[in-house]
Amino acid sequence: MASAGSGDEKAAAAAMITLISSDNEKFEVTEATATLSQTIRHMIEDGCTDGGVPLPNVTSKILARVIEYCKKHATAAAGEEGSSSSFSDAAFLEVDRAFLEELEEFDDAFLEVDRATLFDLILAANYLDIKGLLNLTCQKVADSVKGKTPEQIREMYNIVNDLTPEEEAEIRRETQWAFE
Amino acid sequence: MDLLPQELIGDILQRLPAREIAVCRTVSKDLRAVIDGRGLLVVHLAPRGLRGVFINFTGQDEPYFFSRRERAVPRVDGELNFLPEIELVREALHHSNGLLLVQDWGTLFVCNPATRRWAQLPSRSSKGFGDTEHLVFDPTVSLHYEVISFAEAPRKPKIPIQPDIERPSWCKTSFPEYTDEEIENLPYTLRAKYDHEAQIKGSVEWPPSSHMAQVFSSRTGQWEERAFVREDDVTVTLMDVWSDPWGPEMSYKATRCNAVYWQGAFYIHCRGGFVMRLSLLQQKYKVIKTPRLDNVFTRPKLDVDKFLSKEGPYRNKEYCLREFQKEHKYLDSAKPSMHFGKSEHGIYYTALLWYQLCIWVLHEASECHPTPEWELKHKVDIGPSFRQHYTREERKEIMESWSLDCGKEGSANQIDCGWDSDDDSGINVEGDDGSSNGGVYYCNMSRHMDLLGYHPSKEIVFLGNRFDGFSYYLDSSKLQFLGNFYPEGCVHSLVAFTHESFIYTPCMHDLLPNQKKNTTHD
Repeated sequence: MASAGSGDEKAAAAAMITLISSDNEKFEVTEATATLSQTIRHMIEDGCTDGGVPLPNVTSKILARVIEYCKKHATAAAGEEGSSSSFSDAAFLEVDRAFLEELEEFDDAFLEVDRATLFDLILAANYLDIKGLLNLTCQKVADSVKGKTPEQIREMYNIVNDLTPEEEAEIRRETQWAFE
Repeated sequence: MDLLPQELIGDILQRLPAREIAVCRTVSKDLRAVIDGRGLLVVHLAPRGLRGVFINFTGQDEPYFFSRRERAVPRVDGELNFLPEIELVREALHHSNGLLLVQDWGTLFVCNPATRRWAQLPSRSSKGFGDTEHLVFDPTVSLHYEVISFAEAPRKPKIPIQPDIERPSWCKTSFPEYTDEEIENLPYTLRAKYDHEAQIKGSVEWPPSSHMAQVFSSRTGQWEERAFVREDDVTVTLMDVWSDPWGPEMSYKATRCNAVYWQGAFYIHCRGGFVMRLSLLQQKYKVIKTPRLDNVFTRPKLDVDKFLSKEGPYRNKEYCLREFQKEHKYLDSAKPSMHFGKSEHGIYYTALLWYQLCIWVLHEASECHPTPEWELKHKVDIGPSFRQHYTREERKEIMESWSLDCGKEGSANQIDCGWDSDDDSGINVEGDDGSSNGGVYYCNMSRHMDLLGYHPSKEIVFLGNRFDGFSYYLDSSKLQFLGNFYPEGCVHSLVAFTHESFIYTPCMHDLLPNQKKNTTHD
């Protein structure tokens, strides 16, 4: 789908960037994939990516997942650009819709991780400034809280209840409507 | 969740609806700190836009709700049908961020017309005749409310009825005290003695350095005495209070002193030309004198020829001249009325006379201004715009976007963003009609207008002309007709007039109990 691009864009897409995880594992990714991260995009613009980009806050396990997400969504972004230039083409739109559905399925499957990994992904998305991934993972946590009691939330996220029963009752009274 | 920095926890929680955020607040101290520190719940609780105006009419036994016609969410019961049956006369006393303080023959109720929840306040051990009750409710701080009642200033001493001085029989039966006219005819020595007494008693400073109030808190469910301590030396005297044209002696005519909650402080407009600024937590108050009204109004010019030109088969010259003199007398005797409220730039003090508005905005004390100051922000004469409206031929065809008591028939498919002025499809009257013929009023146009209130966040004034509601845009000088608010079942339009009004902004959250009509709150 990226074939709609010019020769220069093709050359840019082919440029490879090396990302280095905190445990020193190296990942080769295309620039299109890497620049989904605003943090890396700025490094590329500043020309300081020679010899690889060290990411001391991200483990190889999490970086692999992040790259998996970026690869999929970089393709999607290229697809969107292509479609906007020839949106009158109904067949093209059909392909596009199918691809978006596929992307949603990918996201759902991508989020099937344990809580610790989910939090690591949020931290990585925040550090690398990948808006889509941050939005996706934060929403997943928010959704998991919906309809739960305070006790269920504590259990789910290993939160210690440091409120005395009196304090908890008082806070509850302040927003009694939420517990009716 | 403690693995994530607060910023990210905030990002996650802000995606939740109010109810879920409230639940998360009880999970741990950390979560509560994030929610309260970032005001995540406040965003949901802040009252929505303006919905309408609650109006008390004289001669009517309940308040009416004048609101835009469209169906919107939340559904508001402007008729307050969820409250117990009216015992005698129900009136709205105050409104604060979605809660309404209502009185029915001495019994106080706090209710929320959007959630239809209400509470009946317990009776107080003592209540003075002129006590005024105010409601303090700020859902962005707490869902608890307080009702504050200050005792009225001591009354001016009266001349005791002299048994040896004959009174007209109608005065004897109607007035337990001497009327102003009678006083004028009393012996000089008696009046001098009384004047002297009034002067001594009137030189006392007011309000007192420790001002007692009765406060009801929904937190405790009880009334308690609270003393508010004055912070500085600014005061007026009792004489100022007594000589206020809208003072307690005239209370049947004057609207209640209004009060406004703004940025953590509570402002109460009092008789005698001052505003009390209360810090509720510190139990302190400051006195801010209201602007002087000398020479702010321009008396409309009367043209005797205009009156004489009305001479005809049914009106002779004498009649026309009498009309002219009557009008003259009215203009000389008319006194400005005051309104106190809040809008875009904070606290607004407004004086209105005839069709003229003078609007001051309060600038709080700051480093460069050690004392609070009033800035005269607008001075306008809306008379020409009103005249233009009432002479429009197609006036009757103008769509009325507002009406009385229509908030209750809502449907759930429209999100309420609050009344936003420009979306109303009324007509606009702009500019001057060129005929500044003060004194000659058109059919339906009253001699003065009522101020219904201010838009809470925009400089728009809501005005009433008899029973016609208007909005006036201070920035563009645009007058817009909203609709008629003539109370149904009113015998004659002269019997009822707009007495006081409260701008209403719905709020969906409160701690008021859910209860059926026939049960009483314990």
